[in-house]
Amino acid sequence: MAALRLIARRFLQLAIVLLLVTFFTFSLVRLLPGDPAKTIIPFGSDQQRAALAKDLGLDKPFLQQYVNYLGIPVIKSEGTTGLLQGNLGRKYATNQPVGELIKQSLPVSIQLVIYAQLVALALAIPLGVLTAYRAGTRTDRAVNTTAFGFLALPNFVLALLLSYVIGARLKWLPTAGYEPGWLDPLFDSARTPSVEHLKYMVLPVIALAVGQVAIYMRLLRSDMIATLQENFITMAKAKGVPNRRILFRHALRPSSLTLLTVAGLNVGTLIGGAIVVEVIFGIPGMGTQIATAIAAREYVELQSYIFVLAFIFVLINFAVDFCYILLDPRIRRARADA
Amino acid sequence: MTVPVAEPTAEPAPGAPLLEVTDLTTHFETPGGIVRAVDGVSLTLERGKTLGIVGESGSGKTVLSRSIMGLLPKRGTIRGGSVRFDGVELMTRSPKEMRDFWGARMAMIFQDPMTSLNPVMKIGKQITESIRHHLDVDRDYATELAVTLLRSVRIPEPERRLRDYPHQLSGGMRQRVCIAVAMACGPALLFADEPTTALDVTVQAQVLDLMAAQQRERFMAIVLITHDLGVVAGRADEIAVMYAGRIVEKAPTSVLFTQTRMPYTKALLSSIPKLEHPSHSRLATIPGRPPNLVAPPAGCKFAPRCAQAQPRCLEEDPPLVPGSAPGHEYRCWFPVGTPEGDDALARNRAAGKTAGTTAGGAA
Amino acid sequence: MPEPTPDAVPPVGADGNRDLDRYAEGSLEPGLVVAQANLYVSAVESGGEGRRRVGRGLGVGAWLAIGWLAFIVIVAVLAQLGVLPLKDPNRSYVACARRGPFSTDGTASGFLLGCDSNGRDMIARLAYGSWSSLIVATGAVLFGLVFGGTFGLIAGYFGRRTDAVITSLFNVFLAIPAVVLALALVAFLAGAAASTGQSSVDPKLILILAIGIVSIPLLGRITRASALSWSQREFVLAARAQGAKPVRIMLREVLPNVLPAMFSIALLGIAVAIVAEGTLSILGVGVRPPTPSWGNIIGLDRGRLKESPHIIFLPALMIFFTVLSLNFLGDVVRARLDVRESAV
Repeated sequence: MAALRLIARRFLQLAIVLLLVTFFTFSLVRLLPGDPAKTIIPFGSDQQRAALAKDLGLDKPFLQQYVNYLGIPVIKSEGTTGLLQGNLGRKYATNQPVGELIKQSLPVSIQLVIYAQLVALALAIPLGVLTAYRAGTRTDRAVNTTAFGFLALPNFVLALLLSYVIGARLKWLPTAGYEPGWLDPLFDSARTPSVEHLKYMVLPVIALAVGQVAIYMRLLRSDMIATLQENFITMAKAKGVPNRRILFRHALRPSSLTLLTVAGLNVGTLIGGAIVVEVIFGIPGMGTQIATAIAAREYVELQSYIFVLAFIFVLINFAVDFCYILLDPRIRRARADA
Repeated sequence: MTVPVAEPTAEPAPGAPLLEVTDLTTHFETPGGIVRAVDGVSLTLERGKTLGIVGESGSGKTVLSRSIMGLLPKRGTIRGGSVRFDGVELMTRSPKEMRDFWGARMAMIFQDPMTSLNPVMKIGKQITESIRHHLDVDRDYATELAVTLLRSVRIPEPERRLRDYPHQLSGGMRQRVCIAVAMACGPALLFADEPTTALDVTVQAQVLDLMAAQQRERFMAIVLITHDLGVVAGRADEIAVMYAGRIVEKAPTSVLFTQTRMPYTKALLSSIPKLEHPSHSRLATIPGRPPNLVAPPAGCKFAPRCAQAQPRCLEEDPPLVPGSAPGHEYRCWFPVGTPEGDDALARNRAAGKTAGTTAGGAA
Repeated sequence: MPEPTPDAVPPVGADGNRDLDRYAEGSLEPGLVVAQANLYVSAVESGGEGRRRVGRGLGVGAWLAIGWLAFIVIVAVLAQLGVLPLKDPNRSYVACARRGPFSTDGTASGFLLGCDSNGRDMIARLAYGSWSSLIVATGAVLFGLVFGGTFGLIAGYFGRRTDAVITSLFNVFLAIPAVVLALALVAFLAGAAASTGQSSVDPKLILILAIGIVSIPLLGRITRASALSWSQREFVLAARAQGAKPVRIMLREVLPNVLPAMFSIALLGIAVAIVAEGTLSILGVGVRPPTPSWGNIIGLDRGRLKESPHIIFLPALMIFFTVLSLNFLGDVVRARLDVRESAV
């Protein structure tokens, strides 16, 4: 069946992309010039370096090293573990497995990104619909101009601005620190109420979300304007359907394909933004870990962080691609034809 | 099962025609100037009757129908005149008040069934939506009603079709669904804007017959808008020919065909292929294009393209005058089939040019 | 996905399946990635605003944007040439340290915009910082344009398998979040430079390389889309039929037509790159101190936010106005291009 073949093809593509991404992260460490062991632990003892060289399997041929990095059963070297076994390397300064570090920091970052995405969409969708409905009016122009301004405001600038005005000056909200939330393994609702958690998240989430609101809103607006010219909208009007229902039930869904795509793609931007925002607000997520790893030249650790973030991003895009089918029934046919 | 009819929102005036349009104007503000899309149109329509509105694209017939219904966007649109529906003045009503009429008492079918159904909404939903909004019925009853409607527009397996999306249906089927949507609340007046133009020839007649059947069943009035006189010939009780935003000739159907007075109507008539013509005979075409509605010509709007145009046609705008048959009206200084008209045509033939072409050439 | 050239925007189909066409345009190709990075998309999407301005001259906004950019560039160049009467950006005036603008006590009277936490003159740091920020951003975008443009042109011109391979490569790079990719590249490239003892390498070069590599797939995809549509035009087909060499056709016939689209995207690309440098600076891998850049002035004194906000917000304002100007001009340029082409 055509649809099944298509799905199979998608999974094959996913596998290829993941393979290429892992090859890239693998190459990062291996392509360090000179002796990687020396670069990674410039001030370490010979013993530490020997341990690292063994971990990386630097004595093996290049391709064998890659196979070991992935941890493909059967063809990997005896006694080694790779990504497939969940081995993400070690932080050499403390000898902690990177996997453990990720288990603690990743949920914190995911939480932040989810909040930001939800807040951004919750603000952008009504604004996009409103400005499309009132296209060309003063409201439309005011909202658009504001959005254009926010587009030029990098999230680290906004984060610092919020931190200064709301935090340091007005003292309404904390500017640094973190309390565990629902996704966090350390979360204990008895010990820390969720309100505390949210208090710490408000400013970082705003800093991350505002730029996205501008992007999403403008996208949705232009798509909505086009949709509102369609005959089926006039038809709905001629049926006596109220405006609110026309906007949200008839026009929104066919207009949201681009928004969905970009919202999916933007997870990449949000991940990047989260790194900076976490560092600025002192949130112990992946971003803070990455910054620490860079400062400490923990290349193996860094490599694993990059792999994990890229992996998540690829999976999200994969999922978004499938969401299309739910949004637009016409695509089922288009895909079957493809 | 009978289809319930929405309650009238106001007492109908006894004896009044269903639709009475008086001197309706609809102008659009554009960066290039004011477009006079509809410029002083008057017409009446009785219950159960069909009015055909015929004209080229750009003649204002679509704008006229949407203006009567009040469907045009408020911004940039200037409307004047009066529209009385069932004795109620519609011009002064807000869109919110109009919603009680739309779909319930007056409905519309659009030209392109491919684009007039929401592509991401199931057909059942699109039919029940207006039922649920206008009639106080529960979901099950609305669904039942939708099935009845689909069956009445002769869609096979209506229960199954309710769950289909528009793209799963053929063009003809979609137009039937549109008719079902329009019929949902049993409207008294239906506007059909080029309902068959986008369809295959074989399907066209079926759809038109279906509309006629629905009309008989519900004693509904229809305004059938088309560019094709052939479509309205056998189906309309009365035909209004539009040109440049005005009615240029209006008559009961048989009168229009037998006592054509306006040269534009005549030109339209001779562009219909007829069976008695030898095959491959050349169809008459109307030279030129409809006038610019921002700055229309001073005299008769059709004069620049008219075969019998005289100098007077370029200077004086002909009023709508009654013809010999009752209900016949036309705008022309030198009507077809009268001595003046024949004389004008003969003069132009002899001169090898018309007043319009001379003026056009000079301009 | 909408692309900056009108040809790439799928026409509203006869059956009105606009979204479907739009969807089919981008996402049925391999690699899960449908569009360019968000900023490009949003900028491309905003063309509607610019359209109204066409035919009435550039407008006040565009002139303000041009004025600001000219001012920044001139200051950066003159400061670098040593022509401007500026203080040494690396000299510490201890009495002035952390003092804000218009500070009058002590020797600080001469510091109109105050000093940073080390007592270095903010005006001098901002002026010299302009140079670093602009050179890194422009360099990165040029790098991206040269490589991304070449690949995009080849993909768009040859189409078929060549196109599929290049597009998939772009998509793999797009599969890694841009900031993460840039971070990885800077960290590892810097590591490589350090371990080979090539500390003489200008650290700015590493930044240009890293941000440039990240921008290759973004700029490449846009070039490809534009090249694809131009390569179908009659004059290109005619040149092909006459047996002209592909390289010649690409450079003589296709490239000149693709350049305007590349230019408008380059403006936005520079804005994105300026922000990227700032982001990397906050994370400690931007332009290496003591050389100032807008980003690293913020990055170095982030901890002084509370007592000396001017150290943070002055460079932040520079970034904001520059990005705003570039975005605005990008919009204007694109709007003009659209209209001109559709008028043909």
